[in-house]
Amino acid sequence: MKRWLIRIFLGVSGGRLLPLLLLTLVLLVSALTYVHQMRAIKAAVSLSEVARLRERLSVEQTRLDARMGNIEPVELQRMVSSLGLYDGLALAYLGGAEKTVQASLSRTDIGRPLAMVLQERAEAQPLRASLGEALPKAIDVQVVAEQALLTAVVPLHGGQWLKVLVDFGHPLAVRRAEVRALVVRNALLALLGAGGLAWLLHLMWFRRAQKLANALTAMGAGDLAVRTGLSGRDELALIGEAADHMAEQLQADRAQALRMTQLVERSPLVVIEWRNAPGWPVSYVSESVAQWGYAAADFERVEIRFTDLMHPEDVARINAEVAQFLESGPDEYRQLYRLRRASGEWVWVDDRTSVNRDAQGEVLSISAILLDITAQKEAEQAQREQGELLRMFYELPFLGMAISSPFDKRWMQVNDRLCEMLGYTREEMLAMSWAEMTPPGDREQNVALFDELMAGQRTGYRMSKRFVRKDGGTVHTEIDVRAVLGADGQPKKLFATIQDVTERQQAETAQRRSERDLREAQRIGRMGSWARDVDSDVAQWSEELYRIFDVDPETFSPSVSALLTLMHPEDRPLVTQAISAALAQGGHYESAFRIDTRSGTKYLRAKGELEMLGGRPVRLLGTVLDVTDITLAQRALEEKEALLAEAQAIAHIGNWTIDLLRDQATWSHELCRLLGFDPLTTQASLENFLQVVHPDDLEGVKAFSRQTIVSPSPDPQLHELRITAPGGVRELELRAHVSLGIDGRVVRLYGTAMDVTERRQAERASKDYKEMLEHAEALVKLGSWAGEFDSPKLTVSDQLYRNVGLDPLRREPTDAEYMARIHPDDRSVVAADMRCIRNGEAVGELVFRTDPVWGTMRWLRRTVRFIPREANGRGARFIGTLLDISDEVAAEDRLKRLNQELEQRVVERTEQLRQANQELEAFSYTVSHDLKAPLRGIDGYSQLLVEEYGPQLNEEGRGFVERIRQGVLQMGELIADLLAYSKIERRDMAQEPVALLPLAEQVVAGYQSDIDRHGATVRWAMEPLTLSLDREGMALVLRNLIGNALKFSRDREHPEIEIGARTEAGQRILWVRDNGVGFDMKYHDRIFGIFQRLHRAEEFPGTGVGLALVTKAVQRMGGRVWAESELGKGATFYLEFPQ
Amino acid sequence: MSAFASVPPILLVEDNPMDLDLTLRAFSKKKFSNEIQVARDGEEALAFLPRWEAGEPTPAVILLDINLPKVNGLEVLRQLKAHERFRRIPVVVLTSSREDRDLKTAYDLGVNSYIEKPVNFTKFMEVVEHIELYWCVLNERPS
Repeated sequence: MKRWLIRIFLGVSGGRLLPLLLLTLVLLVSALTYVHQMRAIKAAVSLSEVARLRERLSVEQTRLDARMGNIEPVELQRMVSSLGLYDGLALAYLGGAEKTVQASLSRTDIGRPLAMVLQERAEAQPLRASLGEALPKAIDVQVVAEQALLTAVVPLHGGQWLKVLVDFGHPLAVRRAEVRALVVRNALLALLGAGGLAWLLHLMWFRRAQKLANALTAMGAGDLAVRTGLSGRDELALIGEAADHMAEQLQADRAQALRMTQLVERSPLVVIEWRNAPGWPVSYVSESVAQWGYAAADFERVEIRFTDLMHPEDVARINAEVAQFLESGPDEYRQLYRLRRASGEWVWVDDRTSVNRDAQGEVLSISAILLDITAQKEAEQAQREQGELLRMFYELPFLGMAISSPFDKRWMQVNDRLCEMLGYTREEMLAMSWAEMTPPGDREQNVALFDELMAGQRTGYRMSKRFVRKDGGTVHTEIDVRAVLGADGQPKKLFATIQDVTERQQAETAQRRSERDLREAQRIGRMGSWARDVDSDVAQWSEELYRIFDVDPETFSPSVSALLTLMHPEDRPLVTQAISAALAQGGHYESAFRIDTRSGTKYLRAKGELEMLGGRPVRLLGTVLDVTDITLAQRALEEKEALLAEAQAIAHIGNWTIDLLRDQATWSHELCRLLGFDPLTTQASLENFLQVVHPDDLEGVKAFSRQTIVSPSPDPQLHELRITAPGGVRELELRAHVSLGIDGRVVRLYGTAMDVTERRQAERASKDYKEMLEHAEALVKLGSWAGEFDSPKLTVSDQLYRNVGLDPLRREPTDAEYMARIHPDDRSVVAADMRCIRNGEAVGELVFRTDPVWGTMRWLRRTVRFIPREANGRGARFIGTLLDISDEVAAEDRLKRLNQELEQRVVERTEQLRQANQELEAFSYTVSHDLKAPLRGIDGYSQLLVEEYGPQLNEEGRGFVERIRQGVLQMGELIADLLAYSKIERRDMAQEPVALLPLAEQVVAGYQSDIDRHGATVRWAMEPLTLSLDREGMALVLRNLIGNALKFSRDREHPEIEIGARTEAGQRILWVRDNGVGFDMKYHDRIFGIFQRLHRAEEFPGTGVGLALVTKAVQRMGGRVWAESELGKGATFYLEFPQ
Repeated sequence: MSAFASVPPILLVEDNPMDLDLTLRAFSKKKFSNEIQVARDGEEALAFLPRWEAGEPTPAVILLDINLPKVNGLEVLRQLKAHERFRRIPVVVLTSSREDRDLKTAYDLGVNSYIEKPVNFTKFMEVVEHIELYWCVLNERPS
């Protein structure tokens, strides 16, 4: 049974079995849980329902017991009916000892015996059990088995009872549904978990196990390149790793075996193995058997029998040997025999065989390695033949031959010819070395070549050398030595052939000498020669000809066509034509042509002649002469003449000659032009010349020529004159040289004439500028200087010398003299400054002083400006000035002194002012406080006087006291105003944006009671203006002006006040106008002064401070105030503030 | 004395004899029950400090003039307001000066009120009445 189960499990793959097991487990657990829960629920619900019912019924019992004695049947019935509200209560019966139903949920049951009622109702069946039972003492609740029903019997007073039936099927069903849902949900969750687990296992185990199995299967099938490719460190991965390692090992082994086999296949060896079976079938033969034209498969299929391939002569021998070896060993042996190739030829093979035996010594197989040694056999044969040939050659009678030892230079073998050549017998020769037979003149060279040969630097050498014969004579030979190398690469023997060239040498020497002479002659004359067969294009060139054409004799093959390619392309047709003509007509030809060589163009002249033999041209002979130097010299001369003419034209210089002996003159073309003549038509003559000389200079010219002729000088003589040329007067500078005859007299004059008009004009202009500049410099005491970075020299203007107190007319001062003029304190600064300028560093202006020991100390200011390199090639330079600024410095000093004095005065005045302000402040403070205290006293005591002693005073006395108090009041106002005035003078004015209209309205509001009292009208004419000023100051101003306006217009029938503002020409103007008493404009200025009043105090009370306060405040806010008025016609006060 | 022990006194610091007399009269006219203590200069005013420390009752309010001989009223104010215990005693500057400088300094030092003495005696009486009513009747003192 168990085995059967295990077999089923093992028959299913783990990847399928596991999910199946998990599913089964989940379902099983869920089902068990469900059953268990359902049972538990029923018990729990019935228990709780019993408790609930018992609780309710005990309440009912109490209620019913309380009322039972005296209760109406209707009431009883209602109480029982109310039980119907209890959940699940199906039946309720109330009865007594007589067992009739007194109350029930159903009205029809009342009055009927309970047994009958229960009998009629099928659902009441569980209650029937209680019929026979005695009434319990307490409430008895019973669970009806197998059903969701409860029965209860409640005992009441007086043998009364209440029986009920409750169906708790509904709550049970609800709970069951809940539990079912829960179980299903849990089962689903468990399934999900199981699924996840199965998937995880699939990923981690089964899938990889499958992969491993696949890889192992592939490996088993021989695919060793496959790898499991499992990652991780778990058991599967370890197995996979081991499998991979195994596969790798196997793969390497297999590759090794394959390489070995391939090595054999590629080698000239043929491996063959026979099995010990009848007929010795071939069990293996390597592919290399193809070298004999067979396929390996042919052997294995037994289409070819090995013995059939053997040479018939060898078969018997080999078979006999093999039988012998198999019988008694040895098991490793070697045989040589011939085999037939597929093409029918025979090959020699070297067969190395091993016999493989089992433990008992029985032969299992024979394996053999066959090596084709045909070539070796053939080489041996060839060598034998070669040796024979060599021996024959060695004995040839016209060439000396020898073999010598490389170690002691001894002859090892010599032939008869060499013995004869050197006059020794063979025996004598073999006792000597070649070195001692070589004359000293050749020995050194020979030994050097020999050493190189021994050092492995060469394999042989060839030289012309002499030998000393036995009879003392010299033999000239050409010797050729070859080394025969041993297996170690070292020369083993030296093989030499020696040829007697004594006669040839002598002939060659003579020929060489004559050739050398010819070559030299050609080289000196720069003439080459050549010869050419008429029928062939190939020519022979002399050495010099190669040189002329600048081609390499080694690589250049001379021919007519090659010659043509060297020629300048323009010249080729001419030369070809000349040669063709010579060939056609016989005789000789001449031509000139150019060639382009590496060293430039060459000019050549060629001459040629036909050589005739038997009236037929056979050879063309010729020479080529290099005439480059001559041609170039000629050309240079022509160019120089042209250049001279050109230069004269550009520089306006002409030249002239006068031959006094022949009375002839020549003028260059440019001179003709300078003098205003046409060079082509004018004849040079003294008359023509004098004709154009300026009349004023005529005498001078004549005197100059006389002077030059009469007292000749080796130096050129200069003279300037003017001529009247067609374009106006020109200035000429004449230079005259003289040539003297044998007698020391002048025979010839020659020289140049140069037009210097422009130069002289420029020189004059330059002189003017210089004078102007000097004048200007002297006027402003400005010296100037300049220098170039490339030169230590400075150019300095005269005024600069004067500025440092030096005399400009004297020679130029040295640096030391210049420095001595500078104030000792400033010298190092000036020197450093000059160094900076020399280095091209940017420096500012420099001010320094002269040394006062030379006179008045001067202040100097140096400026400098750097000028970069100019396009025309003038180097970078600097120019500067040195200005005498002594007057400026003196003026500055004066100004500084004045400023200092002024500042001192300002400081003093400020201090005075500050003290005055402080005193004023102290004064104001005293006024405000110390004056007020006595006033308060006066007022206080006069008041007390009236109060305490009033009755003792008469009317007049009380009047006095009243006036005292009036005075005190005025004094108080005056003090308050004064305080305000001093405050406005002292306080800091703020700068804040103030909207005028709201401020004015605020001030007017403060006077509202006065306005109402006098019935005044206030008219507004204000633009909305916002000014930046002190709010408190402005409020003070408006308060005073509006207060004044009210005060002075209050006696009018209709007092009117206008407050207005507008912007006019950038000014903000504010006014307060009234229709009051006004004033005479002649008092205009007075009313703004402090304590100034135009009215008596009785008319208009006041302190005379108000307008002064206004003026002060407006001034401090940067504005102005004025008034316009006419006596009795009101007044307008204006304020003006700038924008 | 014990009968008035519950009514705190008023300390009046005033050097001008006329002002002092008028002020005292003004107080007596209004028939307040507070005892009026008088200091004639700053030194005398500050001499009260040790007395208060010794247990004498502190005043309900101190009326302080600024222009005082010896020690200036503002200095008295500064020392009072710097005192740990007595800085809570209300101080009313009662002076002729309406200078901005004095006003600002007084408030910076922590004065409780600043009143200018009116020249007019009737007004001065009103002021005194208001002061007594406010500081001695209406105002709650810190204990």
